[in-house]
Amino acid sequence: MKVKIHVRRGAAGRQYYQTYEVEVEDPRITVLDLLIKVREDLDGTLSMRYACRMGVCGACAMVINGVPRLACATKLSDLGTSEIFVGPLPNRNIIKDLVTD
Amino acid sequence: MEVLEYDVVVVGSGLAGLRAAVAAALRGAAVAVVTKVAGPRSHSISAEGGMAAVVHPNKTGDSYELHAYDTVKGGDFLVDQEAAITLAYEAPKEVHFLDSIGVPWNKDPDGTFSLRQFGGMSKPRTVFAKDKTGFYIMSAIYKHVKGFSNIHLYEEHLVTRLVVKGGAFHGVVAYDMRRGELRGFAAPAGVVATGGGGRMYRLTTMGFLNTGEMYGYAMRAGLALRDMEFVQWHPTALVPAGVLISEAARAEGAYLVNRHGERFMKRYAPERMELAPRDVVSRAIYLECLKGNGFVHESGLCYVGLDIRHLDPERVKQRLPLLLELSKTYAGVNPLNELIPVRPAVHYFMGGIMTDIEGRALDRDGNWVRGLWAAGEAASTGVHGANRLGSNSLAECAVWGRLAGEAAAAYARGRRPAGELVAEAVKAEEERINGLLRREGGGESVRGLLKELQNLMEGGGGIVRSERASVEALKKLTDLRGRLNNVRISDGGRIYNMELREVLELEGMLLAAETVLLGALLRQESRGAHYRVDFQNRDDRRWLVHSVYFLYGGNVMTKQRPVNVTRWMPEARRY
Repeated sequence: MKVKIHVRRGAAGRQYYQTYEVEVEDPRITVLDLLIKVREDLDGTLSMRYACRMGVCGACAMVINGVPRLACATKLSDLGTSEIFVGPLPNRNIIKDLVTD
Repeated sequence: MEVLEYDVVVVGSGLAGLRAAVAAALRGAAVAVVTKVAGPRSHSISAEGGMAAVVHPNKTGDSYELHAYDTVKGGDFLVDQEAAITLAYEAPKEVHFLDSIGVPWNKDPDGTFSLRQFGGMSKPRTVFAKDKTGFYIMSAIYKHVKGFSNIHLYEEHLVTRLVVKGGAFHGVVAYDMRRGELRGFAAPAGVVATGGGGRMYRLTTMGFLNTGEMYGYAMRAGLALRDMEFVQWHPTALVPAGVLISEAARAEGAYLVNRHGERFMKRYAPERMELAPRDVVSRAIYLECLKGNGFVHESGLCYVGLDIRHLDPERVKQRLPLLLELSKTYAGVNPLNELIPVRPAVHYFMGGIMTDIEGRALDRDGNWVRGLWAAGEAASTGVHGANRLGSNSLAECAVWGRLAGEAAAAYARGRRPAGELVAEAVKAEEERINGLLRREGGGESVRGLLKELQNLMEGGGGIVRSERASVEALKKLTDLRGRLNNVRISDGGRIYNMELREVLELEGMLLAAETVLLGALLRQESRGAHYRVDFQNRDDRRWLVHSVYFLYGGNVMTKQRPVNVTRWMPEARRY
């Protein structure tokens, strides 16, 4: 299955969406794993935070399809769509891409 | 260029680092905590099962000496026995300290601490907060640290160099990811508490930041590492993600079963069964898989079942809520009526920066690098020997974090930071990093190299080792070291450049990996977590020695040091 991920990138005032296409076999993949796949295979310049990857530490909190959630605890199958919009948490100073103060 | 001056600089912000910061701050020191992590998200936060401490000796007929003895035997007698005594005597104080800052320990109706019995412990002596002990500890101590005006946190600062000159510590250089600049920290005293390096391996319970570069950087600064060949595989990581399922499950009575439904541990550890030490249980799972007694996951991974279905569901919900949540999210199973698919994954490094029993960091000859301490998983105090017992690591982090922080503050009193030495180091590091960023050619990607590293470590430094496999892995590692010079960083910016961070991490990781593989190759015996198919027995006559690793002329060298056997002679290790 092809998944389209639109990531809101850049720093404050200079934001834009970049779209990546990732081939996915298992819809149980988490959004974090999808983004890591993007970083590994497509674009290493994408900046984001992730640490424990088990839903405990909260590092990978971001807005996924309009809702703030943990990327590591959100599965593609939870979203019910193969088109994903990802952005930094709102009302915070953006350092780069998905990383906020 | 900026060089900030402090009395004590702590590198790392897990339990050991923050405990050191608090201890130093209470003695009036100005403390900088320099950490690559943001917020209380060091991997201590993912600790689940609990913290070993003899808090109620009378309740269970327990004693400090028994805790120390269990630790020595669990470590297959490679433990420096006085370090185990220190751990046992000091740990209860740390439980009370954490209690005083708000950790919600589970308590029994009579008001005493609830206790669990962990693998290799001969009494229930593990205190806990449900199965999210690390989460509660980190939340409490991070908040506590924030209340000190003399502790400054520098988050998302990756330390790239320890500044050591003339046998003494002077400070650190760090890449401040948020501002995209290098910063120097000058201080007469330092504590390294950077945790482990599970990400050298493909399958690990550790988080993405546990890359272990500091092991390599420490050698570059002239420090020695010890016992790096001993890498702990936790028996019960969730398949396929590798997320930890706590030993607390087995402490609460869970079984391990193979695909025939057999509790196979009866063939490996007839007395302790599922509560044998982790090296024994992980090896048993490995052998069950080898014999074809395991289940096979769709990913191709072999696994066994963790069975909690005979436990009282209400008690499980009360005491193991995280286990239920993780199983559902990451394996899609409900443990109340299904088996949890588990297999071993890398969990902890028994080795680390060689220290003495007080946590003072040593060079290859055993001399103290003045002003420098190491604590927690980053350190090798000698307390875990060849295998760490479950729940001894939170105790270790708190105990040696405090000891190091107190000693560092006392040492710093009356001493001045050497700002100019650190400024020079910042300049040198600036040039090096500019070089990395400007490098044009080279088609290697850092993530490609990391994947190769992870695979070769599993081959040459895995649960079961052999001369042939370790030699093979070392050859591949040499090749990787060469190719590291051809990595191109595609991100041209300096702010939050993750590729730059990954390259810097990988440099240190490759050095650390070499010590693991070298030790796996040279140690011709099986002891604790180090198991050689071609030398299957423990050999106390030749190998009751620590391995010491250091850099000499840019190459990793090794030598041996005696084990501090002061109380208990080595005996056969049966469980």
